[in-house]
Amino acid sequence: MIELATPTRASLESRELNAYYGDHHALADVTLAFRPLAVTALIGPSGCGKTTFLRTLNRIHEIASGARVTGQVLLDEENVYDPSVDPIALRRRVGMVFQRPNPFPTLSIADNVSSGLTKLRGEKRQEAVERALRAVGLWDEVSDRLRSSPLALSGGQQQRLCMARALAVEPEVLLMDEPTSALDPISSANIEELIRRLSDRYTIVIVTHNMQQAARVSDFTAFMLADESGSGRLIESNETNQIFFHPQDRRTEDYISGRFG
Amino acid sequence: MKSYRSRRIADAVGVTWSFLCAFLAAAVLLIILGYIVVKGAAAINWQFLTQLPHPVGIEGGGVANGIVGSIITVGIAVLIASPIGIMTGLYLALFSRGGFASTVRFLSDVLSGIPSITIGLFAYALLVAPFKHFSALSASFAFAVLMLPLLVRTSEEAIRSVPRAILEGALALGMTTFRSTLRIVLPVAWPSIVTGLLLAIARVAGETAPLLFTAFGSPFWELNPTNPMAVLSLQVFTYAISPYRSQNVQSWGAALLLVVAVLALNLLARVLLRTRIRAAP
Repeated sequence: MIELATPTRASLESRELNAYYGDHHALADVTLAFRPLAVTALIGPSGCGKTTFLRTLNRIHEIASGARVTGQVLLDEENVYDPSVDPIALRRRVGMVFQRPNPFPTLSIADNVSSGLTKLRGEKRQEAVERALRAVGLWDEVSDRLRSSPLALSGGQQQRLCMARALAVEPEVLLMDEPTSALDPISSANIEELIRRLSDRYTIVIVTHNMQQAARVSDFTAFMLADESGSGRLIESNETNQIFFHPQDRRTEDYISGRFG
Repeated sequence: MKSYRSRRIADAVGVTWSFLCAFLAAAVLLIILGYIVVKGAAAINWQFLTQLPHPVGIEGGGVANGIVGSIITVGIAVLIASPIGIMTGLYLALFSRGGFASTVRFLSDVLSGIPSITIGLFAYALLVAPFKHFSALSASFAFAVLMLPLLVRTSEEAIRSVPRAILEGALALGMTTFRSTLRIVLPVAWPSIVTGLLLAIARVAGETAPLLFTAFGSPFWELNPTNPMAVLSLQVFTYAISPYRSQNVQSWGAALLLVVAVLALNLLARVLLRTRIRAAP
């Protein structure tokens, strides 16, 4: 395994977090502490606010017009919604991988990986690109065409490229929004294996609508559900085994056993 | 209840009528193009493309200074209008909801409806009258104002059509909004923006009214944009109303050159747009 950033035990938690899109109260009173250097899965039916919750953690939620947040997200005890916090600096510590692979179409494969690197130049920059590509197991597949377009890669390769791009910045937390939902089963399995491997270096939060995936990749699982007014709430969170085999809440049990959603 | 037969007849009449209208519209364009080609081709030869106009009444001569003048005036207009137009489009695409953005969009629409001669008059009042001197620069200014609303609209559309996920991907890496847009989003939108620019050039290249009291025209080689300058579209106008038959023929020739240039720009824009569509995932 190629050395990436030294693992840091960044603590991440939300307290009484509420998120809104205009008048819509999308997320209500979510308080959840993520275990450092572990994978936490956010599960729940469509519209339960899991993606919104994920997007509040790196403050990408707020770029939508009419979007706002109340409550706190604490990264190493510091509220990221404090006016003194620069969202740019925050997003360099909290990386994100999206639902569909979104490589930058006009940049080469190498430039995609290095696009978030502002300080490194020359050889150091190339090393960072190689390191990130090796970390996602893509180096051997693309090392001979680093200068070509990422659009020629398969969907799974593109998604790993996007992961490499996020890792190159050396974040401490990695947020993943249904990262395999647009991929075929084999590519999905690759990504899941990668997530497992990365979990000893990063605090990972993954949104998934696939319960088997949550069971396979996560150490902890948080179950969310929308209330009558459509606001997403955290129902229950625990070690993944506990959630799947001994859910405490009736609604969690119903969801896990496939009774709805 | 109407019979099936009478409905069929009404339908056939409607379809035929709309076909005839479409045919007429296409025919008008083809007739104009054909007429210009027939009339203008006679004037076009090497001399016409490379020589200065001859003094009135003397046969021969060309519109070389007008060709160069068109390129200079339109070129300067592009330099003025494209940074402003593209950045405005970018602003509108990114901050679409604000009151200021909708005001800008409205003003831009109003501007696109203002007659070109009015804009020429404005350029005259601003850049000609105070200096008591006609200039190509004042014409470029008028052209730039005419191009601006077109550029704003096409750039906004082009940038808006870039998938949001691409901007979010850049922001999530800790890039600033400005850097994300300039480095990541703008290059994706670039072919569409250039297409819009080409169409805007095609649109102003044939403008004549604002030139009457800005570029004014010149019988000489003039490369200095602070002086009066010959422009192709202006030559079409002055030669057309000239009492000399030889100049009337040259007017058709100059018109043909303009039509060919505009056609070429339109074709280029289409080709660009097609490659863009093919490149999109």
